[in-house]
Amino acid sequence: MRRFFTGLCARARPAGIVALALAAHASGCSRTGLDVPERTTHAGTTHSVDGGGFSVVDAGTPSSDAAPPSTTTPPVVEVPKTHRCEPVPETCNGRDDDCNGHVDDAIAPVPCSGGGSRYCVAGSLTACPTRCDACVPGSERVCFHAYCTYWAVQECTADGKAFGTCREQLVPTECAGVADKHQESPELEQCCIDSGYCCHDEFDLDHDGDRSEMLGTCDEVTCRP
Amino acid sequence: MPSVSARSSALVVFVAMLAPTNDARAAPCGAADFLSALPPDGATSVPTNATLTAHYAAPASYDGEPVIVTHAPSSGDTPREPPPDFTVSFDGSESLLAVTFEQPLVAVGDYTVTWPRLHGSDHQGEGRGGKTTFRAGSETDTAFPNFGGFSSVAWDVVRIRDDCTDSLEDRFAFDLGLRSASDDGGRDSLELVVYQSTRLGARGDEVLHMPMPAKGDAVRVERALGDADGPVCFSAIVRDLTGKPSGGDAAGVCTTTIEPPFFYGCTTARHPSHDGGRERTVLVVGVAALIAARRRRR
Repeated sequence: MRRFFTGLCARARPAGIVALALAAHASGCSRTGLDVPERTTHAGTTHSVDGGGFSVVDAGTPSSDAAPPSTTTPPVVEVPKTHRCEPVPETCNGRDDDCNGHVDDAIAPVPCSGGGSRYCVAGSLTACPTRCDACVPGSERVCFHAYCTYWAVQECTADGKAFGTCREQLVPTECAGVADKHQESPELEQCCIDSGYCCHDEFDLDHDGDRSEMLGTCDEVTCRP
Repeated sequence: MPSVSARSSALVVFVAMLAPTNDARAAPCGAADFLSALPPDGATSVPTNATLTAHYAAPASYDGEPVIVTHAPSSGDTPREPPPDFTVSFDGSESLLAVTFEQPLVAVGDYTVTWPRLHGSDHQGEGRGGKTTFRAGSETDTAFPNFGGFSSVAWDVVRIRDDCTDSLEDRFAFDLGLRSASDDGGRDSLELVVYQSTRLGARGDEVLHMPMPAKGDAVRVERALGDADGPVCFSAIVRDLTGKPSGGDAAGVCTTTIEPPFFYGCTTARHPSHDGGRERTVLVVGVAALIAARRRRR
């Protein structure tokens, strides 16, 4: 397991890893790094890594794989004889703010306007929960084919995690002329939207760079209320 | 002239062609079924300040369907007491139905909760309800739970038959090993909430919440291929029966996935012990014998 120094503590950038740890100690940072799991062997389709994680180590004790200090370069940070933790209210930052020996403990969840709460995990607040992962199970959106009718429909899977296959259908009358003339095109997607369907944004008509989203009348399809 | 059985077969095929293709999935898919409850069925020593929750398949809708709670002292001969006063709330973002009592639970009392059948969206039918029983303890839950996080991750690609699309769907399946967890309200009444991110320390999205698995059991998270391709990290918290979360320092795990189809390289040719060598020999001998037989015929 390698440890990389990050965050506020790393910004001090003293020379040498030990000096960095000492600087972190002196600045009150009890979090000295993020555990980054090393790449492991690939065995078929199953990959395993050892338990990495957002862990807390004693700032005064460099990790075992840290390089020893150079004999020619003296430490740039003076070693404090006794470290005093200045207690402040605990906040979600990956540090032991209240000096009780625990990191990010007893932090109340932050309520979300749409329901659910945000929790402190690994030094930052989580996103608000949504009612499903990708789409409402059983709902449909229009997608487009490059052949035949150019019009198709995708149904959301039962677990709401993705849409299924894009299956061809007859073009509704309001867009039949557009499909005949422009085939699979931005014009056809625009007709889909204008006709009140929930449509796969294959042509990025809202110019946000996201071609996996959907546009149009999607209240019954999208996960966000 | 075709036989009778042949005509019957033709008729069956004709009728099958006329039948709508969706008959095989006439039942509503993705119904908002009751999945689990906390405290779990059969729990004992439940803290007297517990809030009861039921988890439904997402996205569920709550429209005031009644939750029935009955209480009786633990000695079974005593008649049931009037139902305790409680309020019901519903969190649509997590499809959680919650019962909060106005007074603490009666110590060492037996409770039965009948969770209602809920509707899903317009596309879904009414799901299944549930029924759980538990026995209250005599203590309150005051401490925050402790949770060590994850210890390992392994992944694979699984293929599932989907009720809604009536087709096979691929999913990344992650098996996450759990470290220790504890709470003054009991480990069995903890709820595990799992978050996914691309690196530890980044904002995570909730991907699963469920009752804490039994000790030694891993937890499985399934994700769509497009949602977990490449670097993937998982972190988690646990919540107790009063809603208090564990600390944010629980260990997370990371891995890197590869979207199928997988390529294993040209390893087959490097294994001389493989039976393919014998098969090739048999094939060559067979072809030679065939050619020799043809020549003899001429």
